[in-house]
Order: sequence, then structure tokens, then C-alpha cells
Amino acid sequence: MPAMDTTRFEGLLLRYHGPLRRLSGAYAGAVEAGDLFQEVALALWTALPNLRGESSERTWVYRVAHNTAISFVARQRKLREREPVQPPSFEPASPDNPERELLVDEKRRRLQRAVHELPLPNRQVMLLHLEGLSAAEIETITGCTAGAVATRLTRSRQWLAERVNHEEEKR
Amino acid sequence: MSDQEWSELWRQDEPPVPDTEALVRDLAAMSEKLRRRTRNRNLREYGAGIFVAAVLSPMLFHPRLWLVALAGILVTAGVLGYLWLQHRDEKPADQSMDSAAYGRRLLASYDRQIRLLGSVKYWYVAPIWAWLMLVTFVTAGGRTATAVRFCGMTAFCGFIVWLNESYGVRKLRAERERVESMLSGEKS
Repeated sequence: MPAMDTTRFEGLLLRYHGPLRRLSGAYAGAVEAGDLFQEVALALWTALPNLRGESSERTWVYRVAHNTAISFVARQRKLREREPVQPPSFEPASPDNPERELLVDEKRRRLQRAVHELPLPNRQVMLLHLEGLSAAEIETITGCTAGAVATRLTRSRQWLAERVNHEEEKR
Repeated sequence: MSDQEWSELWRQDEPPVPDTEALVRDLAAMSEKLRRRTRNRNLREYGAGIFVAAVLSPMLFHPRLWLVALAGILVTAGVLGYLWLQHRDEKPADQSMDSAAYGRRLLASYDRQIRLLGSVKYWYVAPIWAWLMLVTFVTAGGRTATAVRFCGMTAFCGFIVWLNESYGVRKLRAERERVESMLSGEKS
């Protein structure tokens, strides 16, 4: 890869590192999130020379990342029959106000678990929504109609509210 | 909770920034390894054909075995030619297409593999069986020995057809079904 593209790739990684890490956790689970992140980075690295002005950088990155994740999960499902996938778990942030931070961390973990358990098409739409993408961008990335995106979002919201609140009530 | 609050909670998980220089180095190495692995796989496939042709070529000048050698070379070239034609149409998936199109492409690649395995008796086993029969009759001993060899080779070819068409295709179909249900959201 030419030096200019390497610089461009490093910039891309710095800008999207957080979303791509979160996406990897939501698709692959805790144990294999690192492997998926590396596959996504490799896919971006390989596809970068084809990135032209036809689509925005953001939708391009998410398209490559989600498609790589789909292939990864398809392969992972063969293994899942033998070994269950661990839902994502993240290190708690170092707290200034320990009690409050602990509660927020716990809630975030529940949210991450609930997203990981969503059916794949809903998970994809919800992930993009949580990352702050617009409905039009989600349509471009997923190839779904506006109606399908809205339906999936509504179902996913209900699911998240049920799962996160249900666990909260249990405690 | 509102959408905004979910989103903020989700994005609070901000992993530490990686050492991008090291990651780029790793990716360049991985990319090169992948390229070499693909090249070696192709070389192995075609190398095996070249090896068979090289072994059979001297026999072309044998007064009794020239037909066996010629048929062997033609069968090998035919099978490899067919595989080459199949691989020629395979283009690496464009990762930047939308996910719905990508999912359809993923399923289509399963269909292609199922078709290839399901037709193995025509493009792989039948020519090899015909060649083995030629070898059996050209190098025939007594009637019993020929009959035993005929039955043995036919059974062997039948086993290869069964292994591919029954076991291999069934496994691929089950895998395709799992992927399809995952993409449609029937299973999480």
C-alpha cells in the first residue's frame, strides 16, 4: 500500500476505532471481539484503495465493517454449536464517584448484552442507530427500505427496554 | 430511557486508542500472508495436474500404454480446465456493497459450492472412472482379475460420488440454511 494510503488508513482507524471496537463486541462476543476487530481492520486496509467519492467515508467504513462481521458470525455459528459465545464484557471505567460509576457501568453492560442478543438484522440497525447514524445512512448501509429500518428500530427499542429494565427489576 | 440516553450510554465505552503504526505493520504482514496462502493453494491444485502429466508423458512413447497415458493427460487437463473455468468467475466479494446485497452474495456462494459438489459425478468422477476402466482393460490379466478390478474401481468411484453429493452437499445445505435464517433474523 502506498505511503499516502497508509497515512489515510491510520487516520481512518483513529476516527473509527471506538465504533469498530463496540461493533466487534456486539457481533462476536467478548472472547472473539479482538479477532473480529482485526478482520475488520484488514478488510478496511484491503478495500481502502477502492474508496472513492461515491459514498461518504462514514457509510463506507460501516458497510465494510458490517459485511465483515456478517461473514465472521456466519463462520462463528458453526463453532457455536460446540461452544457458546460469551456476551461482550468490558472493563469498568475507573470511577471518580465509585457508586454512581458502578451503576452506570452495570447498565451499560446490560445494554451491551441486550444488543448482542438481538437477531442479526435488528442488531445491525440498532448498532448503527446507537452510533448516531441517521435513518438515511442506515438505509444506505443495510440496503433496507425506510419502512424496514423503522420497524426494526421499534422492535429493537422494545427489546432493549424490556431486557435492560427487566434485569434492573430483578436486582 | 430516550434514544439519546441509550446512545450516550452506548458510546461511553471508549476503548483506548491503539498503536496505529504497530497495527498497520501487523495488517501488512497478515495481508501478505493471505496473498501467499491463496497463491500456494492454487499452485498446489495445478501443480498436482502438472505432476500427473509429467509422470504420464514418458508413457506416450510406449507401444502398449500410449493410449492410457494420452487419456490420463486429457482427463487431468479436462478436470483442471473445468475447475479453472469455475474459479475464473469467482470474484472476491466487494465488502463495501450494502449488507442486503452482501448477504445475497454470501448465499449465492453457498449455492455455487453446492452446485459444484452436486455435479462432481459428471466433471470429476465420470472421466476418472472411464480412464480407470481403460487402464483395467489395457493392462488386463485373467477374466477374474479384470472383474475384481472393475468392481473395486467402480465401488471406489461410487464412494467418491456419495461422499461429495450426499455427505458434502447435505452439510453445505445445512450451513446455508443456518446462514439464511441468521440473515433473516429467524435465529439470533
